[in-house]
Amino acid sequence: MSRPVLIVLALLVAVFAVAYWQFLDRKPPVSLAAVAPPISTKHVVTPPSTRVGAPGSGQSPQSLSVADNDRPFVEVRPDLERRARAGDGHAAWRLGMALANCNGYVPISDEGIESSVIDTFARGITVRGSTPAAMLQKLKLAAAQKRRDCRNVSGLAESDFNNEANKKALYWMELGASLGNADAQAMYATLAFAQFDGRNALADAEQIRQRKRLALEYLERSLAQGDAFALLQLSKQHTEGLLFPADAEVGYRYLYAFSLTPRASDFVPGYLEMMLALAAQDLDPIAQGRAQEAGRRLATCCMSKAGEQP
Amino acid sequence: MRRSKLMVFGVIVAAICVLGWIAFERRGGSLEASSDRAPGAHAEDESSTPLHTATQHPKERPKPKLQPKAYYASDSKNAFINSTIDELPNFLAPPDQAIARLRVLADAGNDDAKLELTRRLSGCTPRALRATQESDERLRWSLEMDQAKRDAGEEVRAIPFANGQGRIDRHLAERAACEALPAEVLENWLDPIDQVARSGDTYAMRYYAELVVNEYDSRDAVVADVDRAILRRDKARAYLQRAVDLGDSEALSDLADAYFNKQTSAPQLYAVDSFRAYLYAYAASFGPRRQYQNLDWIMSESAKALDTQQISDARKQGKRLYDACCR
Repeated sequence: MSRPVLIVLALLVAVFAVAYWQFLDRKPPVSLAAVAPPISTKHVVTPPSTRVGAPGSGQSPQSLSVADNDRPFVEVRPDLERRARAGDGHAAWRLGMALANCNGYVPISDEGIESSVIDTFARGITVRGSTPAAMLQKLKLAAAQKRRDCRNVSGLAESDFNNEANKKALYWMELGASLGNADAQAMYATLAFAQFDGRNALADAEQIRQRKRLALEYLERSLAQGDAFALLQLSKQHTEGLLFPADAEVGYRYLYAFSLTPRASDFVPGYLEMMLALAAQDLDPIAQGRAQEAGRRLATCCMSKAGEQP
Repeated sequence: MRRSKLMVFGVIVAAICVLGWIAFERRGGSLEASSDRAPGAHAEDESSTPLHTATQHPKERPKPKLQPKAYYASDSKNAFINSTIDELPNFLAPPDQAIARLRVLADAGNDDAKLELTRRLSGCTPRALRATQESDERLRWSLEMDQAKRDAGEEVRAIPFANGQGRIDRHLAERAACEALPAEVLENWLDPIDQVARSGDTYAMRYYAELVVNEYDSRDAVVADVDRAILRRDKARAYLQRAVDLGDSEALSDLADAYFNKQTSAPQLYAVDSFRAYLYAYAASFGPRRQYQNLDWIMSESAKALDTQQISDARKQGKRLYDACCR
């Protein structure tokens, strides 16, 4: 055999030997179990407290308005924060409400609403099931209610990026609830999940479950204190189907009950009637009558005017 | 003589190519893998503490069903007859008839029917029904706006209107079919696919996880159904791990996606973990690449949250993971 052919053969053998060695050089099987240590939850803010406050240990508010003797909110805010940290549940509630309800609020006049609605309909944009007049009435009522709730709070401009304003609102509301403020306990359910979004909700579902239980417990305690605001929140929760299975009749029942309590005067005239009409639109007359009857019984829990509770 | 020299030269070149390929494979198998290696770090460090313990693999791995099934018929009038897999109804079959047929086949033990039945029922959950209803309302409003436009011609408006109206009508029929179903079927809509997954079908395992993530796509969806959401999520996680154990490299890709910080509101099966996202994506990169996989993107984005040592560790573990499960 010639020398070049031998060289070729030797090289081929060497190459195949290396390839075979590579084929054999495999790692032993390993388990996946150790790859998945417990999930991280560091991005979830720890609430100030998860303690359920004792009934009556906080003061109840005079109304849903967070204003204080016509002093602008920006002036009273530091004092409110100091008082809340010192254990004033009412101050904590007011801070929470202002941040949740009035952040970024800019008053708008009825004339401004009218021109906006006229302009919208003039451009051919329609709203299903609503006439310009009905739309105008709804917007005016909503604006009037907002003016009332957010009196002296204009100029509050916390960053709303990543739901930050609601997270701050939750901080104060949770503090107020843990201090026993009945309105804060009722309102807690609305803000309880502010720290979660569609992205982290499933991964952190255990924390959501814990907060859901706490929200239900706070609602019960608020109701036990005779706070009509709890009826309003129960209506919302039964309608939206978050804390309870969605049930339009039960939602209407609690809203109707609230409308019979003295706290109904916290709303501008016509606003509650509008809410009741909306809540009743999917109910037949029999269901509506049944809900009203049950609502009358429910309302007996909360017939004292806010602020008169111990 | 000259011919012999050429032959020797050719064999030497071939040998260099083979050895180069081997070296490339041993370093991680991808160009990306070698780009930002930690100084002094070895791709395969046998002396490092093993993250995994030996696992018992089944003697015969079930063949994963890697391709989703598609049921198309050329003739919509004969939707059932022209089904391509067994007797499954196709996309054009009326929803009520299709679901009824699938239930019969599923009860008879047809796994493909079970998968398709769950897929169909996933559109009947309260969340899905609400989503399509809202979407249809928006579409209807949009169509009305289009009809009100005077600057577009009749023909220009007619086609989108017909398409949109067709979609709304189809959704209406689907909702009606859903409402006609017994409550227990709707309540247990994941049961058919769960049965298939329990039998060792890794495609069903991965699809189960996908359906769970889709079902709990918002905070409110989780809050409203939190106890069941936790049970289903945990089962989905277990199925993905099981699919990897059974050698389905696509489950590695799914796990990478599950840990990846997508920077969107899309729901996550796990809390964001850039290390694990990188690790699983790196492991999956050794498997067969498939269309729509975004492994390179997951690795490049996750790497931004990691230092060089963490990247090096993730690669070592990822390579080991792939070798263990799917090589």
